[in-house]
Amino acid sequence: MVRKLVLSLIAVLGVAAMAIAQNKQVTGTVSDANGNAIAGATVMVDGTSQGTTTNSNGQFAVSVPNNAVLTVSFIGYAPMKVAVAGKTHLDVTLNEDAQNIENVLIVAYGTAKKESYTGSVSTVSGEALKKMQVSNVSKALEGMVPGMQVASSSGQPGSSAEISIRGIGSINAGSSPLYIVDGAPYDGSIAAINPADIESISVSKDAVSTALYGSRAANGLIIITTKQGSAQRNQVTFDARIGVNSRGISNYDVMESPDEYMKTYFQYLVNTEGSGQAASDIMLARLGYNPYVGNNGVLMTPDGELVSTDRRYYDVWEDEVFESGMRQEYNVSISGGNQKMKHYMSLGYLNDEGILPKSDYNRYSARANATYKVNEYIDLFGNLAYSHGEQNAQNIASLSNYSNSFMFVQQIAPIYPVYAYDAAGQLILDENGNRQFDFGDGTFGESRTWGKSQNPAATDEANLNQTLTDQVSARAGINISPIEGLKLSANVSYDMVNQAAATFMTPSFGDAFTYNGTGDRAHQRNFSLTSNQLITYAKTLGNHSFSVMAGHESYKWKNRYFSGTKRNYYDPENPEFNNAISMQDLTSYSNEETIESFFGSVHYEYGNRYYLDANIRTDGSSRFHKDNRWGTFWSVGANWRLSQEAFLKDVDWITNLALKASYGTTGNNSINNYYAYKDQYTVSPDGDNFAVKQTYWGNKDLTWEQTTNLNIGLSASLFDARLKFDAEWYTKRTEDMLYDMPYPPSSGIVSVPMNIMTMKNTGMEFTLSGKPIQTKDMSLEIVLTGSFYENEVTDLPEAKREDGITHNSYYCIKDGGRVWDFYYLQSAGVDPETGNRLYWHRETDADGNETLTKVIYDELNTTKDKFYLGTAKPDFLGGVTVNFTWKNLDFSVAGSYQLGGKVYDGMYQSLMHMGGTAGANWHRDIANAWTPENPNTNVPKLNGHIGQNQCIDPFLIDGSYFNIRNITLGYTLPQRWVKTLRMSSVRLYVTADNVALFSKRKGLDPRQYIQGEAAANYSVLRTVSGGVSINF
Amino acid sequence: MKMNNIKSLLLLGVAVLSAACSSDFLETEPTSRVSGDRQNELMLEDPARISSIIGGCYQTLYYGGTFRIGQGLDNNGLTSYKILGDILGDDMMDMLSSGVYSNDQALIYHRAGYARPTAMWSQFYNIISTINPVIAILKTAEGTDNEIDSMLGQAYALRAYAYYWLINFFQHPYSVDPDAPGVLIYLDDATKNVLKRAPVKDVYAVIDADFAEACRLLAGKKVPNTAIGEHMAAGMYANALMFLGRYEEAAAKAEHATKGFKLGGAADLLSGFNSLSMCEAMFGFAVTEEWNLVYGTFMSMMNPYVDGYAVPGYFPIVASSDLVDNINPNDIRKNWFGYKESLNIYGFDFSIVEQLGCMDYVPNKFLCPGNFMADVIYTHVAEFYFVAAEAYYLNQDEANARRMLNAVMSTRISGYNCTLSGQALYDEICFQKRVEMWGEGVRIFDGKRRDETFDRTKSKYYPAKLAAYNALTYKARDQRNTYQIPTREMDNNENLTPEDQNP
Repeated sequence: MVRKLVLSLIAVLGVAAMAIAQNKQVTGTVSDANGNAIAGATVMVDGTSQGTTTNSNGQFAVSVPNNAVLTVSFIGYAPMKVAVAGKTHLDVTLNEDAQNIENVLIVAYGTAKKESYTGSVSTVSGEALKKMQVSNVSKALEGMVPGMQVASSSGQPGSSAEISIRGIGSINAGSSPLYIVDGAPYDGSIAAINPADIESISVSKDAVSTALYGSRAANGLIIITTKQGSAQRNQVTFDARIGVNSRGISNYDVMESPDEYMKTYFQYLVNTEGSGQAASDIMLARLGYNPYVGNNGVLMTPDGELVSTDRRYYDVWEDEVFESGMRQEYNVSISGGNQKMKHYMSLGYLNDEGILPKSDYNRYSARANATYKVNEYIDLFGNLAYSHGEQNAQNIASLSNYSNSFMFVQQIAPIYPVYAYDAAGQLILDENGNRQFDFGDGTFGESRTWGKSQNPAATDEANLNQTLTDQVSARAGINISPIEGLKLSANVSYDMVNQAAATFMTPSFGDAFTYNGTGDRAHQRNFSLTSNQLITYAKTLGNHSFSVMAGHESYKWKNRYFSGTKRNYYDPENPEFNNAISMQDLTSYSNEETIESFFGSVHYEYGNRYYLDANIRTDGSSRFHKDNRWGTFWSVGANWRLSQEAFLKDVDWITNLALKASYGTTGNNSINNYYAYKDQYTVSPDGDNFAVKQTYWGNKDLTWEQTTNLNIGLSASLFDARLKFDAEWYTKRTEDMLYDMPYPPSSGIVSVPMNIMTMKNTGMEFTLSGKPIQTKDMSLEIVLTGSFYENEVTDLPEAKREDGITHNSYYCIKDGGRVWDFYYLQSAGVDPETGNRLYWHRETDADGNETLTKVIYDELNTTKDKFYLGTAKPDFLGGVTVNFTWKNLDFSVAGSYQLGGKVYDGMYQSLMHMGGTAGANWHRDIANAWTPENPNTNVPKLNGHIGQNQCIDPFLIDGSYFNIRNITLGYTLPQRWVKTLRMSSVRLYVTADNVALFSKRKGLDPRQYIQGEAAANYSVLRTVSGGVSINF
Repeated sequence: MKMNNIKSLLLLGVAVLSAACSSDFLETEPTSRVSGDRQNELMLEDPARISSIIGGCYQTLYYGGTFRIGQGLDNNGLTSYKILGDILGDDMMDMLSSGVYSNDQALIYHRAGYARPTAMWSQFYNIISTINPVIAILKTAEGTDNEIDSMLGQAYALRAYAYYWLINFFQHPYSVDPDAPGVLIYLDDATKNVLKRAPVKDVYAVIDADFAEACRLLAGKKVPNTAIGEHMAAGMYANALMFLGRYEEAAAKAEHATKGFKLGGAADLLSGFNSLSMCEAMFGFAVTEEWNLVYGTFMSMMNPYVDGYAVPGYFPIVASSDLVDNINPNDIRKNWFGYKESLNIYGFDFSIVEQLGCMDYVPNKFLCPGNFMADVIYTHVAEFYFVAAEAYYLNQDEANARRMLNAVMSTRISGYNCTLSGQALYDEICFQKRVEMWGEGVRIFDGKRRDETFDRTKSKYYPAKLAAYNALTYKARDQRNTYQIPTREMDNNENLTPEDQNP
């Protein structure tokens, strides 16, 4: 229905528009306060998308209605509104304004003025992004946008951050925002975008700002706009920056010497073997290594004293595994243009080395953006970006994976050497006189029980996990303005990603030794094509302005995948398949997704005071069955600029004061299967026969998840914009959530996707910025952002209403509870008599009264005895930025913070193990373990019993932190020096990222775990660099 | 711009729109898997394709299929559960008690939240839910074709076998209480509703009926030993009948089971149990390179001479000394135990084993090359000689009991001739079966059925640490050897309340 309406609307508008227009030519000049002509200034007819730019002499000519109001703007200047009022020539003078750039918002299918916009959009400038030393721009957003949670879950160069906007997006369906690059949904890798090419990033949060991308905008939009040339400012810039990456987060407070480890392990043996003598007898056999000389194979006496403290080796795993990396980045850009054509071209190179061998990211990027004005009716634009990325990564998969070096160096007991030593402690050298790695596999006579056959110091170097990505991202469009106020546009965007991934595990040692090496190759090609056709008509009549837009968009994404695995390699250093003889696996498939959309919008404004927006969009998604495929989303918004009202107009300390509200719906179709409505069977071999198994259970009734969003905002700019305050309150209600409903395993079904449950996110966010100092020589700006939200899930399926939905083991969604609430077995301390962990147990008497008792693990009802232990949702989060300039010096600090929210520290739990895993290291907190002499403690007796640590509350930790994200100090060389070098400006700077993290427990970085479950991820990088920026 | 141009542009725009509006644009089809609709078309085209669904069940039986849990070291279908059958008993020891199955050995993993009950429950029910519609379809064509009957027979056997494992791991044996809550019974595809626990006797009624149908349908059909054939089905049926105390029928079925496969000699028995071409191999999975589970293989857990989990420096598994020391020195099977230098081709350091005095108990029964490539043999024909002997004995037919015992044992010990009677005969049958089936997962079933007491301290070496778990001397029917219904089932099955849970 809506489709038909939109189609007819397009036709009607086209005809109507032709009838209305009546224009006249206005000419004029634009200059700055000193009378110098400003070239490239934008002259826009208010309430329309009509306009022009000034030429090199600052002159312009534009065809406008008689009563039009022109807005003249230029980067770095406060925009100026001039009424034509029948004149044919206008002279406009612009005043400088550093805040100006923030006043133009990039929004869906166009731009908007900040003070009049009805939606909720935050903007991050390219300048602010440039300071951050990230290879993936998503990581630069930490603490920059109120209401946005950014978790840099991995420090691996090139990796993306996990982003969620305004609470929790969805449970099973995608909860990441949609990226829009230069006007079209972006399907490439975020790492492929050179941050130096970014003019600004807008984050759209409410319904009115996202509804035009209704189909996939339920989780917000991140709109990236790349740089464009300016009509007159021809310039060449060169940036270079070189620095060092190091580990941002240190080890936990783990044991570092064999002496302390031995004493604790001995205690465990006494507890389990029954006596000091038995412990002494068996200790070496259990640990496998003798880290001392001169003890004749007896590590400790039956009294628990070390027989010898004479160390056989002093290897420190951390030092051997980690290294510091170098970071280099060079960017050159040329931009400029003339009346007809504007261009921006850039080349960039980044080499970002991680802190492990074979962990780095290299990017070569090139971009050419151009706009071309064919004649007064037609203009064209085209953006073309190419990037080549090379990522080497280590497999930092999980806590239980030995290839995770961050886990390994901390969890291996400090009793095992990295290199091979003989009994006397002399290095065992190979025939070439080199040190040899010890894999603890018996090669040199001793075997580890923990991490046998593993040595990350060797394997990180020898293994390969490389991804090469070539990406082309193109945007092109044509705008035709046949008559005043009417614009027809057609845009096409094409993203193509070609990726070749290779992994190789050496046959020489480590995990793949037994099958003589293994290697995978995977090639994939993704392309997406979005094309849209828009028709816009704008008109101003007296104090009334309106614009109407209607459009159609089609989206097609296709992925082709091909991979293979071989084992048994001949030359241990050649990872190619031609060097291997055992075929393991060969796979290929393709996936496809299509979306078709029709949309329309209306914008109305009256007297620079009242603004209204309305949008509607209908989308069909290939992920749903044809009967349930179409979803319609809409929004309305209003903005009231109080400061323009008569009663405030004369209050001169109020620069701008606006109140706005929006309401509407958006959709989410990103269920984790492209054909979610179909049953699916997997084909595999059973010997020479086929084995066909159902592995996906589809649901024909599945349809769009829908979010209704109410946003109310207040925006104030006071004292000549020296104090600004923006606050927004929102409530988002997501209904018919796409959820993989787990089935009882007895049905043979894993889960079925369904539209169930309702989730509400309600929150507030604010930005407060002030410029207490603003003089000719000195300025100080402080920006503080903050946000909080509450999350609530309701309408649980009938069967789950009582018990809730358990997910990821430790979480349970209760009716009225939050998504990431911890529900699990709860510790009731340690029994002072026995040293056993006690748990809270629910006891119900005959009358149905519930009492709590303390029991040991074996007496628990693990299904019933779960308790609310806190939530991963933070109480409050945000960022703070301080910018200070004094003459030619500039200094800035950016920080991010979080208050509250719990993290389940699984790594700490592993380090507080009960001794059962011989050779696994301990956190020093284990010293407090129960002994007859230390009966009153909360750390149980070390007896290896699995029942001692089955609760998680002792390992839940407050996730509050403050992170000094970036510090930058710059110096711009005086003009007179620069001029002699024939440059226009030169700035030198030093900058440091992830300078310090203040959090609850050393070793744990709460920022990495948005869902509250920690797992020894790749540490964030601390980067310290020096750089130079030169403009010619 | 002229009016005409504008009009044509608009028309063009509308044309573009209508083109993209074609209904096909939003229709997509998976290529990495087969969609349900396409699968139905393919089945209709050629009903023989149903065998591929049965093939899927054999695969699930081997490695756990869709419901494989964790990192793939354990919880791999029968590959893992066969080990479980021994490690829960007293004949197999995880020496350092820190290996993959050490928590099973400590009798801990029965609790609802652990992977073990979850995996076993889910994997066998996955087979049941997959096979139910197959039975429904094939039943309509029963008798029309040998191939159809063979498939249907296999389907019944697979379902019965799945219930056999479930009922014995999730409730005490039939003889303890036939009315105790057993497991959920799903018999047809229409039953997508979730169910409550049915009494043990009802579950056995299904097992009984399904195996009977399987035996009837498979009679005379040629089936390779990668599938359940006539004799294997009879053997499985015999095991179930033993639990029901129907010894006469059990003896007959077990003896019938022995008819299909020859007993091997020393060469066969000492070949390492790694190939389905072994003449005694009744049923197993032919492992191809693609299905080599590497560190998760049975061999990785059981063969101490390759670099898997069973190597001495890691989680060495040994046999208990009271089993090995009592094997007749002339028994070929004596060679299944005791460290052999000739087998240690990679030169692993066995000094820990030596220090613990366990060199004589190192297992050599299961051997494979360094890359773990080996077929998995679920059972070998000798098992059913012992089952038949025990059944005859319990049916008061000692002569036939001795006949079956002697038939198998004379191929193990040259000149073996058992003349014992009474309890001594029974003890001999039981002991020789323990030796014969070591590592093949029948110990826990026998222990539970016979209500044995496991005593790990009878072995010269046992992990002292197990004392902390009260897991040195315990009844085979200890509650800890009955799994709790997995949390995932309890959480998602609205018909089960906490009161339905096993203690």
